[in-house]
Amino acid sequence: MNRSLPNVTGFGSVIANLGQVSNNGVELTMNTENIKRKNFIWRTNFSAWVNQNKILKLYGAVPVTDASGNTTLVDQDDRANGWFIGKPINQIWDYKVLGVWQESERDLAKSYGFTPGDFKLEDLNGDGKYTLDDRQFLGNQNPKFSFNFRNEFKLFQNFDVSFALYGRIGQWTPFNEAKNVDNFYDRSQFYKRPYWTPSNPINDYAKMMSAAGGSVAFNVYRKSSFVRLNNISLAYNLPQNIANKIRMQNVKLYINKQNAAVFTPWEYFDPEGRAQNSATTQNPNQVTLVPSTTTFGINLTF
Amino acid sequence: MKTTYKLQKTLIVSLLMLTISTSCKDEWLEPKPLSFFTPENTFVDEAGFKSALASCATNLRDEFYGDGTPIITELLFSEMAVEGTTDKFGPAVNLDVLITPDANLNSADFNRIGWYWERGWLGIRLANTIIDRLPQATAIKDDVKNVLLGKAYFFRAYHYYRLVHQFGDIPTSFKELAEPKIDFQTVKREAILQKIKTDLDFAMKVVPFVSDKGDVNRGAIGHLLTKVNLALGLFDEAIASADQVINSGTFKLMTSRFGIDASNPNKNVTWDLHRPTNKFAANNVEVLFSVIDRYGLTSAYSTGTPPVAQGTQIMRQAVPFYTSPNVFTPDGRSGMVPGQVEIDLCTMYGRGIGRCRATPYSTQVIWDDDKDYRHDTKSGNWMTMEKLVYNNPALKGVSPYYGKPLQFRDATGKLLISGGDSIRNWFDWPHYKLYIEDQIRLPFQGGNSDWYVFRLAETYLLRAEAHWFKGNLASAAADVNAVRTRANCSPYPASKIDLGVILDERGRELYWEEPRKTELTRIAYQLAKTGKTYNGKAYALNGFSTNNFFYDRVMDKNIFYKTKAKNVRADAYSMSPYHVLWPIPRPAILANSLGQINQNIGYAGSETNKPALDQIPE
Repeated sequence: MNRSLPNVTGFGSVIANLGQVSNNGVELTMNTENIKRKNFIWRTNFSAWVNQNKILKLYGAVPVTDASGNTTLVDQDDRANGWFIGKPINQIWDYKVLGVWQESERDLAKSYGFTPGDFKLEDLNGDGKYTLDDRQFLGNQNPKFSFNFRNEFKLFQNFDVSFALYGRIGQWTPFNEAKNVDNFYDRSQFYKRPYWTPSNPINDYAKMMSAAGGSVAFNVYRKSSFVRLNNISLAYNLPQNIANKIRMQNVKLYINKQNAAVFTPWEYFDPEGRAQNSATTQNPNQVTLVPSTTTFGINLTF
Repeated sequence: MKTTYKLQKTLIVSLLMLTISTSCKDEWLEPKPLSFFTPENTFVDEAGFKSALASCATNLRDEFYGDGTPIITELLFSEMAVEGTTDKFGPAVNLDVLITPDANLNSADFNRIGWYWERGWLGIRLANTIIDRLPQATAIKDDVKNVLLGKAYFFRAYHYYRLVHQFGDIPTSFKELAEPKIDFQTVKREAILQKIKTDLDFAMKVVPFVSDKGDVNRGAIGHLLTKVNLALGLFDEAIASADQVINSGTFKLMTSRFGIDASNPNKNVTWDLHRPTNKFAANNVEVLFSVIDRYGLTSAYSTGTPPVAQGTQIMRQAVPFYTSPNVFTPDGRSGMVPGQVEIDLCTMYGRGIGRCRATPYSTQVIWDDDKDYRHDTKSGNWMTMEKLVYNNPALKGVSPYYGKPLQFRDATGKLLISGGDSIRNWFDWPHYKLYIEDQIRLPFQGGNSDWYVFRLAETYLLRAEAHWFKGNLASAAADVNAVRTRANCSPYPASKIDLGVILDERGRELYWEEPRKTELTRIAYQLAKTGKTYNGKAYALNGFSTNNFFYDRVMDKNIFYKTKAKNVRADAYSMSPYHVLWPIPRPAILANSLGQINQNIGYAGSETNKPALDQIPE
């Protein structure tokens, strides 16, 4: 792994074979045949898992003397990488976005170097400026709960119907698009996105060209939970006797829909297409978009 | 269907047999590389060390190249310029808001403070590697070894000199590291300066005066040593080290025409001095140390994968955005276009975006002699907006202003810049210095060219400064006048010489060459240390970050910060006394978990500072 170094060394990081991470979780898989009749068969595959990792060790314990003079052996966090002992690897350690500075808060915003329309961050210790001490643990970028769910039906012996769902629930993903700073809006075409104005005092998107990471670098995070209806398929097998009449062994007609629907609070392209830790990814060109495809087909076997 | 299956089976079986019968012996799998690029193989002979020194030079070079050129950050923390990109929040306009340890400190869209920090330490690491590996290279003779060592000392000292005047007290690294080090401590600036002075004193004895262009020579070392001597307040030694360079016989100010345009009677020596090919001409004896960037060489400044040559991009950065569609004719039409139209301005002057916006101080106030070549519009050395003409082909036959000179206001006094952005769109510039023909792009942005880092003209001005600190105004005047008269100016009388006059002369001569913020901070330390007054005001090292010469000088001369002028985005130009030192970028402090790197006063995190060490730790 890349252990961060003070760049005083001339290096930003060093590749080190260190550290220890524990993985805990529960996994459940069920394959059931719910109904089995002549003209109706229903089978289900369901699997779900809850896995969390936790950093146990990083670079080894070193003696540290605290304020009262006691020396103890402590394994140090790697704050530059955002790795903390006892926390998940993808734990978010950042400033908490409370909303957007509104016109009525102009003076207070100014004392922090912001203006109305910029994102308002929490000043945790209330010292009147944003410093490292105001960063907090804001959640995990890994899902809390994941599942896959597939149903298959066979109707009237000749029809195959199936659909598959999967979901990733509870993870946070960077959403710096909300800062509205990723384009020169006066000279580019762009995806329509909400933005703050004095007459549209919304709280979840900043104004265009807001102060994003000027005086203090922060990321905006949103929940990217989703359930995706990944596949629906319908197939019809021509009865064998009819097929044989037209000198076929088998005739199958089918229609398939991939990525049929996504259910998510995420507002911008695809919640799953975002690489994790893509804090700097603001350009939709760098977002992997998942297309929705429909396939019709005929299988003929001679 | 069935035949296919049979065919497949046959294929699989035969492939399997093939695999079994051709299996190889184990030794065939052992890697036998033809060469290994490791320190143990490289650092054995003179050529290996020379290539390492070349990496040091390349690392140092990049300050003057590419988009969002680092040197701009030095210029906008001074009287010379302010940030001119007015179309977004992020560029360093309001320094109070934007210059913090947690901010983005290395981006063309913000500033390059973090670039200086990272590249400074990278340069020190490269030099440390050479210095620590030299003793083991038994194949190299001792005198050759000493030359190599002296050159490596130069690079290390160069970066420490810059870092201590950009960031003040800093941690130190004087050894090649073999394992992760996370217990750095902040060391006092003076202790670091002492150490590099010792190194440079050694280098002065062993490195010869004569070198290839781009290589380190005794002139460059003496020049840097003069700066270090000044920084330490050792003015007699500064004069002595400057004398060594000026009296060497190897280096002289270029006072007569030379090089590529020498036969063009409309030009002059100032023009000649800054032509790309003249910078490395054998008869150019003014250059002490330059960096190499030539189109077509694999070492040319480039970015990306695969590398694309970028060049200086100097015209893009420092020429006003005169091609803006907002520059209007008096009859209310968009007057300017970039590109190769009939009146092709961009090939003559480059397409600027005005990122580095020269202040009235640097374009007007300091020019006190009409004969000055450096501000001469007749020879084309200096450009004003009124020397440009409306070139939009759409105006042809439609507007009487096509091909006529630009106007700032119409007859009624109305500003002719739509949107009113005269910060970005309207200012004068030193064409003789910024015009670098572009081998890569149309419209021109500034191509590949060598660049001066140290030039003898600056050595004169450094010696003038030492004389001023000693109160020897006649000698100071002689040195300033050496530079002035070369540029066709009348000499100053000794009575006129002041620190401010020397700084003005530096501004006239060394735009886009001297690191202005570094030099102003150095002078601020010198005034604080000696207690010598400037403008009737004395300074002290105590409380340096709240009361210093750097801030007073910038506030006095840079009208943007002085008046808190607002750009078209309504962001105000603003600066504070603590900006005399830049913030230590936070990642360095964060990753240094077993030691403490101090933050500079005025920035978040400085509350927990510990006293800096008096000595460089082993």
